[in-house]
Parts: sequence; C-alpha cells; structure tokens
Amino acid sequence: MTVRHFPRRLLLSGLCGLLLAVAAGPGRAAAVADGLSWLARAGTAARNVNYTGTYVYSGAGIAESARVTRVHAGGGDAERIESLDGARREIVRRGDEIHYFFLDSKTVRVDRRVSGRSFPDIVPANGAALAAHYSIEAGQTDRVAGRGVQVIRLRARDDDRFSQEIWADLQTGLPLKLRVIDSQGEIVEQIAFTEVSIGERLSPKQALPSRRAGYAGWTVHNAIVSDPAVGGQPLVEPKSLPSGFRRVSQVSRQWPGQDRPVIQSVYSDGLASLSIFVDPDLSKLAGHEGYSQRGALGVYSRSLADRAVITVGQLPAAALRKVAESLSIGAGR
Amino acid sequence: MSDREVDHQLVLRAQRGDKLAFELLVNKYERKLQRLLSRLVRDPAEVEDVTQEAFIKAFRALPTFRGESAFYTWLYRIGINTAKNYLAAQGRKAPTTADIAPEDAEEASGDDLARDTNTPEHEMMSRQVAETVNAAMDALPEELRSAIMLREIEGMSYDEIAAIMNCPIGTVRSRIFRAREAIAEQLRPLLGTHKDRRW
Amino acid sequence: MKDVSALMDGELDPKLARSTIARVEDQDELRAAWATFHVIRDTLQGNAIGPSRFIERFHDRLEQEPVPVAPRWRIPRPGAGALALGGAGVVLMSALIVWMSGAHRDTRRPVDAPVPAAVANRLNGAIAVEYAMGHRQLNPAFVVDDFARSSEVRPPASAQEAAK
Repeated sequence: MTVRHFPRRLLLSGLCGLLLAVAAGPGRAAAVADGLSWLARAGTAARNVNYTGTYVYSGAGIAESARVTRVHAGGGDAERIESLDGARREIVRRGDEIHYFFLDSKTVRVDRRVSGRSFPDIVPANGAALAAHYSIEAGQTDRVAGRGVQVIRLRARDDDRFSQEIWADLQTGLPLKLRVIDSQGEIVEQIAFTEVSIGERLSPKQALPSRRAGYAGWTVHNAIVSDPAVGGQPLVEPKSLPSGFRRVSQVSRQWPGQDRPVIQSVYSDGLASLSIFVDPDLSKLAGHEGYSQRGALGVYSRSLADRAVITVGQLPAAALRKVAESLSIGAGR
Repeated sequence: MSDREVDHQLVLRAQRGDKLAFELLVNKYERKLQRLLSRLVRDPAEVEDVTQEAFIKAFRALPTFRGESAFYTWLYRIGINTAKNYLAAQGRKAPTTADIAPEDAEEASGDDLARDTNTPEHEMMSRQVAETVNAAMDALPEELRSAIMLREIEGMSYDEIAAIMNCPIGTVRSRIFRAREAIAEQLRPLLGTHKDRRW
Repeated sequence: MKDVSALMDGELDPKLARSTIARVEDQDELRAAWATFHVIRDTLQGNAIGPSRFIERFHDRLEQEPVPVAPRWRIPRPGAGALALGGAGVVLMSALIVWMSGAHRDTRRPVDAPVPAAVANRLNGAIAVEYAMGHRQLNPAFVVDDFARSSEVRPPASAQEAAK
C-alpha cells in the first residue's frame, strides 16, 4: 500500500531538483547531500528497528498522547498504539490488518491499512525522489526525548503541500519528531516522542492487543476492505492534482450500516497523501458540504452527480480545495 | 465603545500613570504575544522572559504611542524587535520563516495551542486549560454555547448574534456573560493555584 | 461583572465603558473576571497557554518602572471605518449561513490558517470524523469511537476471532 515504485520521470525530476540545489553553493550542497543521506536512514529505520515509547500529537488546538510499540519478527511487523487521553482506544496493526479496540463502548472495528504510513514510519524507502517536490537539507543537531537527533528539513517547492521537519535519531535514524509547517511558517501539526526506547529485544506479544480474552458482549464491525472491485461504477477522478501526486491505491470499503461500498482512492507524493472517498449515500452529506480542518488534515466534502465525494488530506486548504473542485466523473480505467 | 477604543482608553489611563490599566492590557495580550514570539524564540522559558521584556519596553515607550494604529499592532512591532535583539545578543539568528508581516498582527489567532511549546509540561498545562474549556463548553446549554461561539470564534457583534439567534440584544449580552461565568467557574481551580495570586 | 463581559466585546456605550474600566481597576473580583474571560477567549481561539505566573512577575517588574510622561492625544473617532464594518457585517451573515449548515468556510481567515479546534470538532460532525479516520488510520488523534457507536449494532459473534 505504500509508495515503493516511483515512476522514472519522477525520479529524474527529483534529480533535477537536486542539481539545482547543488548549484546554489558548496555549503548548501553539503547540507543537501547530508539531508538526503539522513532521509535514507530515516526511511529504513522504522521498517527495521523495534521501538516503544510515548508520543504527543498536537495540532489545531488539541494535543493527544499515545503509547506506541512496534515489533519486527519473522519478516513481518506488528504495532500497538494505545491512546492515553480521552476514551480508551487501542489500535493494533499486524501487517496491513488493523483492529481498533474501543474499550469503553466494547467495540472492535476491523480494517485494513490503505492510506500508507504514519509516525514515526513516515519516510518512504526512496526518499531521494522527494527532492522533486521538497528542497531537502540537513539542519542542526538537537535533542528529542533525551536522545541526540539530526534535523532534516523538507521545504515544499510549491504552495500545494506543507513543508515538514523531521528530527531523526542520531543512532538509528528513527524519526522522533515531526513538524508540518505551512507556507507562512506556521506549525500546523507536530508529533514528538516524549520518551522512547529503540532497538530493544521486544516480544511480538507486546504489540498485540492488551486484552486477550473476554470479548463476550462486544460489538464487531468489519470494514471489509477489498481491492478495486469497482465493477461498473464510474470512477471519480481529479482533473487537477498537486505535482508529483500519484494514485497509490484504490479500494472499496464497507461503511457501517450501509450496503453499498465506499470507494477510496489514495494519492501521494511520497510524503503527504490524500484520499478521495466516493460515497453512494448522498443523503449522508445532509448540508455538510464545505471545508474543515484539524491539524494538517483538511476535509472537503461536496456532492457530485448523486454521490457524496469527500477529499481528505494533509494538504494546505487551497490545494485540497483545488483537488476537490476539479473532481469529475470519469469513464473508469 | 469598540474593542480598539477600549484599548486606547486603557493606554490613555496608563499614559497618565495608571499602571493597573497597563496590566489589564497585559492580561489581555500576554498569550497572544507569547505565542507570536515563540515563533522566533523556541524555548518556552525564554519566550516568557522575552515577552516580559517586550511589555516593559512597551510601557516605557507609551509616550510615543499616538493611537493611530491599534495597540496590538504597535505592541507586536515592539515584541518582534525585542525578540530579534534578544536572539542577536545570544548570537542566534531569527528564523526567517517566522518573520511575518505586521499586517498579520491582528490576524494572529486561530492556531494550534501546543505547537510552540516544546516541553511536555507546557503542553500538558496548555492541554489542561483547553480540555477544561472544551468540557465546560460541552456542558453549556445550547443557547449559551452558540452565543459564545458566535462571539469568540466567529467574531460577531451582539447585533449580528441577536439577528442569528432571533432574540433581543440584552439576551445575547446575558447569554455570553453566563457562558463565560460558567466556563470561568471550571477554570478557577486551574488558574488560581498560586496562593499569592493577585486576582 | 456582566459589564466586564460586554466591555471586552466592545459592546458598552462610551460612558458606561469608562466607568466599567475604572471599576475593573478597583475591584479584585472584576479584575479576575477580566483575566479569566480573556483566557477563555484565547483558548477558544486556539491560543491556550497553561497557567503561569506571568502577570505576577510582570507586576513586580512594573512596580520598579518610573511612570512615562505622555503628551495628550485624541482617541480616533469611528468614521469611515465604521461604515466599512457595516459592509463586513453583511459578509459575515452570509458566511454564517454556510456555517449553520455544517460546512465551515471562514471568509476572514487566510485559507491556510488552521481552524480552531472548537470549530473543527463541533462543526464537522460525524462526516468529517468518519473520513478523517479512514485516511489517518493509525493516528489516535483521528481515531474516534463515535463512528462505531453510531453504526448499526451487529451481533458480536466474531468478536473473539477479531481479537486474536
């Protein structure tokens, strides 16, 4: 589900960006080269090392902390994320399978990972390709959660995406802090570990649901995600996408209490991503057309023909709106 | 008397030697200015020091304030200069991305709460305040909640709110006040933890 | 105290405003209201900052300061500005209709500016929550129970299985 294979064209344009940056001067060139090699380290770290720690997400006036444990074993990986604030929620992911446990309401929701990566696994394997859309350079060293870190700056080359800053662990490369910054230099979202231990020998059990039994009386909802299975449904396509955004997946998912599936298409430039949901139940919108935002995440809902189309992504409001307004019903491919 | 005129009234009193009037302005703008300066100065403890310094500088400069601009616009410039001088004295450079145009001064609201505060303690405390306010908002009767939201979030005048809510202006006035009182009641334990707090 | 509330909203007539300011300076209770009401305003607008001794510290410093001497100046009268405001009022009204229908598009805020949490949380309703969770699947800040609860209750037959 993640972006592994970048089109050749994108790679080439990435290199052009790199050359431009190099032309800017030797000091800058060194920072760029450093930035790229740190990015590569950050990209592999999360996929290889075990870690357990507490991070705080903050954005748009809310802050929420969670405990995350990720274990790699037998060629696969598992991850458990427990919310520490508000209603008790536990997210357990094994490979692409996700279980949400809502402990207060005794509900389990089964889902599949479709929208790619999340903190601290945020950097794609081929980080250099990001250079086409972000100017990348190494910044200063710093400390996060008591560990030495290297700052990697990814400055958006256009206004269609946010800039990001990553604080990567000096020892392992694991991102320990992430900031999403808009074109005004405002931080729209931040996630940072407050304590973390990395590279420990962890048992896979530590990344499995904390509750092992006693689910009698629980409600289960299965999101039943299936691959395209679009069938005869016409596709909704954006006529305009920020440069570098490619479709990375398209799935059909079952929304609770609804017979007809919702189609979700995910687009990404390798770092930021957006989803376009096409929901056949237009009545759901019920006047909810328009834009709203939480942290870096914008949601733009509108109707298109007799469908509700919801565009969701970590993009600046104007860019997201442009995508949503360019949507049209295509013939399907 | 408009918000801006209230500020000018307070400045006028401060200019006549009334320090309490100036403290009311500090009460009003301390968070806004701290948040602004935290874009230049990252460490929360330093931000507080620089903000204190900026207010003192503003107080000393009061005779030069003529009331042609809004008080906050004027304070904003003093704040930015204070932060830049502070960073220069430390041999640090102000981050250029944090440089925002003075026109933004009055727009500088509606950002996330924790983004400038690096320490978990600061985040925790800010979060507590935010959570308390949100919880108190949730507990409000609908007509009080709508009234205060229209005022504080949409920035509407009582006139406009009265038109929307279809009630007399006096009712709007009293609903907003009751909403504030109810939220303040919940906040008091959180804000009044200092024994020697003056108010 | 009701007057303090109206004062900070710019909704008192000049005479009452002036006498209220004088009373706020004199009475501890009113000063507390002034301070706390502004904390509430800043928090709702997304500028929450935890409790601190900021004002106490400042008070101590200010006591050391000599009083500056100011020339007299006049408070600008609301003139053309007030007329312009009338126009802005109309814009606001139409913006509100959109707001009421559940969408949020604030005409006064730059497009890129984050929307205060209180707005985002309250106005989006279930719709944004559902889809935000569908997109940011592994960020607990976007994972909420409402979605599951609002859905049809299904028999818990496979619960044990799901938890394995």
